[in-house]
Amino acid sequence: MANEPQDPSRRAFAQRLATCAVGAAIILGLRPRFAAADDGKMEQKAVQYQDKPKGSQQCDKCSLFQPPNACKSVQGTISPQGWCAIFTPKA
Amino acid sequence: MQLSDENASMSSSYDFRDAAAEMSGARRCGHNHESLKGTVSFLSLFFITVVALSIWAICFKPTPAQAVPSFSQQTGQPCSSCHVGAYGPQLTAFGRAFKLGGYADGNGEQHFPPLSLMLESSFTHTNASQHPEAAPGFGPNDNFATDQISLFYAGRIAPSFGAFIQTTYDGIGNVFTWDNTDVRYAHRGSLFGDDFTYGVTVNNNPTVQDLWNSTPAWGFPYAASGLAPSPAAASLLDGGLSQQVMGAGIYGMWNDLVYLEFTGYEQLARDTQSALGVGGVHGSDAFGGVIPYWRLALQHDFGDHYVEIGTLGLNARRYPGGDASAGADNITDTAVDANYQWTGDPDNLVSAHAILINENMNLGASRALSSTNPSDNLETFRTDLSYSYKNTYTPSVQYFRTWGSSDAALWGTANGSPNSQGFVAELAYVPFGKPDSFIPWFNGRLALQYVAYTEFDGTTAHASDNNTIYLNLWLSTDLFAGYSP
Repeated sequence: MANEPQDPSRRAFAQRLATCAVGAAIILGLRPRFAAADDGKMEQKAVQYQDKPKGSQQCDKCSLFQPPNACKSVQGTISPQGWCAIFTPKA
Repeated sequence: MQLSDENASMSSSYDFRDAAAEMSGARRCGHNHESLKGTVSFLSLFFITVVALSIWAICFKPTPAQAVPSFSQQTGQPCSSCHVGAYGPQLTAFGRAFKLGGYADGNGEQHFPPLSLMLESSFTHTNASQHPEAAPGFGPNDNFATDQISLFYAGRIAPSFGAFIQTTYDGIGNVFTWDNTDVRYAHRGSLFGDDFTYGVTVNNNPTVQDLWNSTPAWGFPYAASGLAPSPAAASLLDGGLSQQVMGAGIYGMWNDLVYLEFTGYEQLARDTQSALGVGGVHGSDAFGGVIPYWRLALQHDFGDHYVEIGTLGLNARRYPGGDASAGADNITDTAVDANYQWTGDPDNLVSAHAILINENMNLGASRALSSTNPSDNLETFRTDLSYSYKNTYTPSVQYFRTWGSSDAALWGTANGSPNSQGFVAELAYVPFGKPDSFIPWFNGRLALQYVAYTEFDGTTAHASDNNTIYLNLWLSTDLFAGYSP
């Protein structure tokens, strides 16, 4: 009947279902959008790259360094005497 | 307002147990089972739905993984790049830069939603048993617990825009709750010819947005027992507003040297707090208007020595127990902090943190309502030192002390004193999260912690009854590790 009050538990269930659907949609919609793939590397500014050593640490002592002037994880030209915040010493 | 209500209010506002849990990014609500009913409607089903989706994805999309959790997957870097000891929350230089940049830096590859799942379980032993029980549903002593299960959205949303959003099932309070949340937009530019990174933050806990581990939200100990006694007194800045407020602020870092931030917070309505799973809302303190928060820090690398010094604070108008009939208390917290890291050898990292918080309280309302002193002060000092060997074994020690004016009506302690002090010693073991880890989509942290009190709630007698052995296991994984749509 039109005037019959809706079952509260049923209404609550519907509300929860809708909430879940909206939540799932938000999560899926919030998928990170990156620019076109840039070789899976990070920008130099993001890793605080500098073209001079930091103490005894410099890029040609890093396991990520690719001679003569590149890096597995950082974009652009990399100086062997440079340094960045993801410095990982060679084993 | 009755004195007992006031004390209950203070207890809920200054629950060091909550503050300690908050430090670990693992806020546990009070043991208010009523709040369970209020939160089932939203967070629980949202949580369950997302977990179910995630399990489905793991089972049916078994693609090779790159790293965990979601921050690690986004950057392509192991946990140890961002975290001392290869497990959060102690940040390295890169970790601070990543947070400053709005959680948005990545390696340019597409990823599925950056969702991570965390499980924390523990064993707690206290010198003396607690009566009748450590918490509802637990025994007087020697308790095993699933401290929390948390789901994170942690990572980039759009260019220069990212978020750290945590929702938690609190296995001790048996409630679902929203947890630490920090949504940021950041831009890298230049000012006076030098690098200048600036942005906005929207968050729910003063200092959750901070870059340093000296401040309360992410300070040591990074996990603490929710089943051990904890001192009654703690300042408002020390976790007293966590998850009760929402704030928006602006920040900037110039020349990797000067950091400045201003954020304004407002307390959420009680109904909203209850719906979000915040415990102990009824009868708790209310805070009127905007709560200004400020932060200034200077940092510099002197060769292999990184040093930061800074100040932070807030000011709040407090209505004790939510009763505005006698006006408001005025609370001002001012803190100074310092950080040190020796980074000369990534296999041998040394870190030290310190903070001193001064809280000045003008208690006009509390005095009228519950006969407190007209004004009080509370000082909090903490300092810790840690050494991390190969980002795998990390022993740490901390000295902590809280002291201030005696006021039985305010603190609710036997002799009115808020004084407590002691030490924390911890050994953490993290087998994964390094560049050569053979399980890149999963990480864990096992820690044995001992908390020793020399003074507890104003008395040295039987203070050691509260000494605690805490064995804590933390597990985390990226739910969609390696999945690239």
